[in-house]
Amino acid sequence: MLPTSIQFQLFKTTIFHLKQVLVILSLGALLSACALGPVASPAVEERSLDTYPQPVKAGPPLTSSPMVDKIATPSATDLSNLSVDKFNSAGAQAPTLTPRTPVATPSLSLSLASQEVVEQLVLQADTAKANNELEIAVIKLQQAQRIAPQEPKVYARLAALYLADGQAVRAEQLARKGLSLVANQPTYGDFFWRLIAASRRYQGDIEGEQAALSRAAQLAQ
Amino acid sequence: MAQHPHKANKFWRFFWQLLTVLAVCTLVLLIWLDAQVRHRFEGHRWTLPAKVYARPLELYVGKQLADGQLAYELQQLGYRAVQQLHKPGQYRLHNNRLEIYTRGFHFVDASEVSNRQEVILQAGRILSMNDTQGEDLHLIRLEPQLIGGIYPSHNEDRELVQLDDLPAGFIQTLLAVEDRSYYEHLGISPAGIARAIAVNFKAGRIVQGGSTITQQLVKNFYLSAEQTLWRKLIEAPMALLLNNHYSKDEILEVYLNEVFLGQQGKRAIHGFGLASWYYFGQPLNELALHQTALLVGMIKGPSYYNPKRYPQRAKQRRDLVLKTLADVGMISETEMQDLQTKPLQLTKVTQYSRYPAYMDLVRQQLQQAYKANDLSNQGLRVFTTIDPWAQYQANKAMKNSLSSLTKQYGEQNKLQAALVLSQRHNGEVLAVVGDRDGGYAGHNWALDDSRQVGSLLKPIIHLTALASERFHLLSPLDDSPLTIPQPDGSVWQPANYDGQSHGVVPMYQALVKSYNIANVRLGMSLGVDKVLEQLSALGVKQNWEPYPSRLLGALELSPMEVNQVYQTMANNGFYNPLSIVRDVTKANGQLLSHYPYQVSQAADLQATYILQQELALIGRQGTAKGAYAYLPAEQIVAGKTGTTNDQRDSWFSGFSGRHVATVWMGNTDATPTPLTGSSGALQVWARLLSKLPYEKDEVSQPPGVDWFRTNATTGAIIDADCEGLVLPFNQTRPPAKANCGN
Repeated sequence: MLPTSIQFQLFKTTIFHLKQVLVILSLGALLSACALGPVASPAVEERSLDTYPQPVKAGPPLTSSPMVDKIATPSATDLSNLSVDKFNSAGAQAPTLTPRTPVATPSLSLSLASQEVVEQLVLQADTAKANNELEIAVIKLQQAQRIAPQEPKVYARLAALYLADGQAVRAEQLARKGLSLVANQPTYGDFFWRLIAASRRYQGDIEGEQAALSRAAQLAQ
Repeated sequence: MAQHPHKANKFWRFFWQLLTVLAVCTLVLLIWLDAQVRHRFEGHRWTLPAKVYARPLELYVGKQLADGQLAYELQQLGYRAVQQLHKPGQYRLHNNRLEIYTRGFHFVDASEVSNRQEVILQAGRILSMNDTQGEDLHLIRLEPQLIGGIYPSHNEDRELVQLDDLPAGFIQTLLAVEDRSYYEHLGISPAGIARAIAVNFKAGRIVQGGSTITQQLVKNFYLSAEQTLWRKLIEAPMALLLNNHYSKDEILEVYLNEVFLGQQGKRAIHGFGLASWYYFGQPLNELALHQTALLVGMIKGPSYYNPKRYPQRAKQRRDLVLKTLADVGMISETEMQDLQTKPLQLTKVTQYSRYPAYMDLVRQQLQQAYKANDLSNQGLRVFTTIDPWAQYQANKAMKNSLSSLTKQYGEQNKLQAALVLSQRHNGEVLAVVGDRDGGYAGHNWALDDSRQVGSLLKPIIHLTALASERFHLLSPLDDSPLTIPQPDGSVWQPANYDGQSHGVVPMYQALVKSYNIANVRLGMSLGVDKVLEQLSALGVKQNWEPYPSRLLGALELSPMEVNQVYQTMANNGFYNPLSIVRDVTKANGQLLSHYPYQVSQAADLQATYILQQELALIGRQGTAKGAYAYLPAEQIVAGKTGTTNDQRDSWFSGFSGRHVATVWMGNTDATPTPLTGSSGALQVWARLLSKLPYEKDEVSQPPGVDWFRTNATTGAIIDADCEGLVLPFNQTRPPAKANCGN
């Protein structure tokens, strides 16, 4: 006689397998009745996002604005003639005016970040813009800004992009930021002031526009 | 006797009726089950948590890397150091030369393809980069590190894989162990059951279940974990139905993603894709056979065979799986023995939960635009600004500094600390330490707690003064005792930290030495409201009453807010809101939202530039010169220490190169500490900055500013060849000129 625990284990085992066998036998014949053809595959990757709220965006969609087009806005082609500056050029020397001879500005040379990569990213942004992929253009320019935060060309492109999109306030601020980096570079200075003028006009600030244009004119002299 | 046939007929009639009823019920049941199987299998969408990524490491010519950064970041990404590169996920770093076989990644703006590349470094800076054909490369963007997720209430997490993603030998291993006749049977395996019966009867207990992979999937996918009779009864028919409707590969793919393989705290690890990252820190397709064997072996009992907790037991199980592979002829005996000698090779990198303070910020920003449900179950991809190297160093700097302080001042049980690090030129938050331990979720002292800022406010007084056209760095300030009557009839008498007054001092010295009385006088002459206006413009908007004591920092800000203010000062007076998220995409990579670069001018350009030089003098000569115990002399440290009354708070906020950082230390109950801004917070700040790549100060000098040699005693500018400190001045209001010594 087997011990009670073993008898119990055997009983459990028998029941365990009996259930499986019974289910197979009793249902096997009926399966064909329910066997419909295979249907769509289970989607592993696809998920519906129809219920999404609109994500916070910086402003209206990046599309061209007819109103801006009427203004003499500096276009990307104006910028294409501007090469990426050498990184030691932006305001590295103090001007010599004032009562006593000023001393040279201490240690302000800029780092040797790659100019090629910035040029590449700016080019890619231009291509994206030409393909009407404006958000991609913005992403490329921000990437360039992270690599070379002192590069005025990046701000010039970003500002022009936003102005073309009708985001005049943002465009003006970006131009101001760019302007802060080009102390002694009339080409960029002129461009940024004209861009500020166009942004102000877009905002209805005609007086501000005139002021900015006269600053641009001063630089041109 | 005649009744017998009647009874028999009645019995048979009843029997047939019963059988018919049973058959009809069974048929109905089957139809219902069939509908269930199809509906749930086809309609099933896994609730995928949002995946949160760090910033990708971008390599380009000219980029400066910190000592050890490259190896650390590659290790965090699960790249293996090898002698020769054979496949993606491998690298060799030797003598300033990095060879890397990248994995590739689908970014928002472009796809980086997997490729072999070479990077040459010199003194931590990238000198050149090229591919295997020798073509120059402009930019290498490594895949971003996954740093966390936003989970649904059931905390299930998975990384979806497809059959194409599997490493060599994976399917064979799985089937050899779990279901050898998978591609032959109909969803259940009578042969398997017969074999299990034999084995179990022989053992006298249940040692083998006989469940096919299809049955296991049915159990996990459709049925509760409860061991009910009903569940057992419907499991087999459901498996048969499933098998009948779908291909073997379809069922297998779902199984690979569904199977439970471990638990990390509340987070349940489902599927082989995630398990591979969790246990090995590598994508599934990079696993070697002995690693595959471990994962497959764990199906039997993910907790019991957890290799992180029971490595010995897990290894035995893995070796048994390898023996099975040899038994079925998949590998040779020699190969088996070789694989069995291999260690488990578990990753030391802890994915997730490492950056709780940073994740707080991510959630905070995302909740403004997304519903909680969408974040936790739509598989969104969130690309953040966190810099894993900087975060690692921030945690380390905090830990090491606290350990030093403990040695110096004894155990400080109530002492807490927080740190925020951001990118100087765009406001991206690179690291956040939310408490003294850094790695634990809980009260976030960087975000949730505001403390008096003390002397951190003084630079704002100076900025207001410099922009007012009435003051320059040599303007004389009176530091003699001061009494200010209060509206309630009382008087306020600010005092200096050293208890002394210093007579008349030049303005820059009042900041460098942090003289309270001179700065209060300066602030009062400008108007407290004007100083507070400037503070608001720099990035913190609150309605403070303009009490004179505000000038000495009697207002409360969180470390995050302080960092925002200093960020704006560091960024030439341009306000960039501190940002945490760059992009959010759907699981398929489609862009949902991009957070653009935002900037607005918040302070006068020339005044900010001059203030920056003043702050740098604090590093050279003033209360922050202790930073140079950790930093090289050529590095610029520009910032301000802050110590509140009775040393309740120790602050330092400042910038250097491309970084702005703020550190706060103080007791949880705001009782006095033994720390000043210099002896506490500055130590953490300097330790951290010493481990970050340093780019020379890139601030360009605005027009309208000139530098002059000066005589601090007379407050005059002197000839360039005289002895004296060189200071910047606004061209429109330079100080008077004098001869060298007069």
